[in-house]
Amino acid sequence: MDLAARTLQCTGCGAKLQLADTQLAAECGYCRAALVDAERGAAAIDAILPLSVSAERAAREVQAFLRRQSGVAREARRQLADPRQLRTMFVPHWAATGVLRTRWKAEIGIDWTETTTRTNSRGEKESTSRSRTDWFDLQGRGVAAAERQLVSASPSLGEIASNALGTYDTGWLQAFDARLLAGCQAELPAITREQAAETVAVEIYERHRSELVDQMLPGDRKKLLSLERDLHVEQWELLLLPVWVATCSVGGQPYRVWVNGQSAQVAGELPVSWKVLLSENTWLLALAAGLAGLAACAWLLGMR
Amino acid sequence: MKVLQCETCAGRLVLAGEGAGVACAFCGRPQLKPVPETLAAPPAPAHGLRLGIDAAAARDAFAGWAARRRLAPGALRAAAQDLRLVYLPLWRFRGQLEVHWAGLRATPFGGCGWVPDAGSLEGPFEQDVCASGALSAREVAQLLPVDEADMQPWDAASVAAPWEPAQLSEQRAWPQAIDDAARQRMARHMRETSLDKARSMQYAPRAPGQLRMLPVYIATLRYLGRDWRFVVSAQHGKVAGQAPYSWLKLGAIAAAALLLLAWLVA
Repeated sequence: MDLAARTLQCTGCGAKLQLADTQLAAECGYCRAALVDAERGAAAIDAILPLSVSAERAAREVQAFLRRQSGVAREARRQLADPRQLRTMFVPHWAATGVLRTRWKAEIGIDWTETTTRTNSRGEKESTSRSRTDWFDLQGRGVAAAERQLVSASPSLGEIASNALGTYDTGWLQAFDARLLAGCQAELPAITREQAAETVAVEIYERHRSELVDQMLPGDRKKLLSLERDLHVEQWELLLLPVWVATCSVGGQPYRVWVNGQSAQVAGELPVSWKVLLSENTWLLALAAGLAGLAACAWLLGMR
Repeated sequence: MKVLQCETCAGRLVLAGEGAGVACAFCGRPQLKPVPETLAAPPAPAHGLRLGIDAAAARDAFAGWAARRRLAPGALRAAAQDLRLVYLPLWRFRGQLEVHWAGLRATPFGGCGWVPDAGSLEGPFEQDVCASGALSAREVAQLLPVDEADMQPWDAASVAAPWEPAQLSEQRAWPQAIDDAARQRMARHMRETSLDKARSMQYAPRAPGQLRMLPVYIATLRYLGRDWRFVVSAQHGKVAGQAPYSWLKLGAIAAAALLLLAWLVA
């Protein structure tokens, strides 16, 4: 894929504009017309998930998200409360479809209580209980399907933030159409399929392992002795998924809040201010003052 | 195809004809707004279930069901007059399922009385998944299974009632179908083999789904500030829904019980 900067001519005012290396769609800086590098997009992107969350709903969800967060710096809250901060982005994701098969061996411990009754020297019956664990060897097979397992390929939306945005129903994907990107920002992938394959393998394996140990294996105690795995990815796709993003800058540091453009789930990291945190939690202040008072009284009594 | 969405309940509908001023089939409110085309893109249904009963028979079935709910408010029976026919989407999947399980089996030997066991099951499956966004899977499950003999190719032009485009994509419905099929298969296996406390993992090679339309009559009742919805199968008249209790009737029963108690004490 050619990731060199590209020059496009604006269809609105005729200005020549340069799109950055991974930029796929932008707005003309002169007339605000929508610019999409359709040629490069059609060559690279397999499908697009249309945006289905309106700007009004995205703004409402960001407000609700801000209300749920405590201690957010006032400056960040003020900037993010402005709905004009919100803009739509189409973020590239690699999607893997395949299956992970495993063979496992484990030791299963089942707790039980052994009760022994005996007759003592006075002829009375005495019972004693002892906790015991019976251990068994167990082996079996496991399987996990990967139905379009997503890995963020965006330079701006990292894998952790992407996972925090929840899942996308990729059943509504549409073939690449430049019109779907009009007026939005869109990116090309910043990571290769091989890099995505490593992330997918780790994510599927870790999820499968925790499902196996925490949910599937029976018994009160479990020791997973071995887990042989075979991941077979049948299909790779490069998808553009919609998000709303609101940005703010506090102390020269940029912060972003993301909204899933299909489910409206919100994620983001916000600057925390201790002043705001304490003013929002006055009981914490009162408790601290009370404790300080008690400590002072104890110290004074000790002095006497 | 024009998709409309109700502003109150968010249910989506494709109307037969122009449908100006038509009320939402799910909540009865006339607040339908067009959905932008790029957002809708609903898959085309392949089959639809033939109507088994007409509106009059559905009204009778619902009135009979309402009459059996003696503690429900009187307005419940009147809701039968406002039954609306609508077709609901249902994904049907057929495939080959593999289930890997691990669990505990009771044993008379040993100290703890249990022995762990693990194994695999394989076999074909057929599963329906509700694709409606307006009705819950639980509501629709009560109207299943459908009689396969009554299925016919879907022709939107000949359908005189609104239908709901699939809100659950085939992609999203597929894992649900596998999970549901595996749950049923495991429940049967556990019953047959005296297996206890078993958990499973399942997989099926991807098979295409078929979108089918299930005709139902829907009635709504607004009672004590809450909407109550009732669904009548247009195949056999079975009713799904939970009737509200009438506070007046409950109060009268409580008062009668108190009077009886007072009389007994006196």
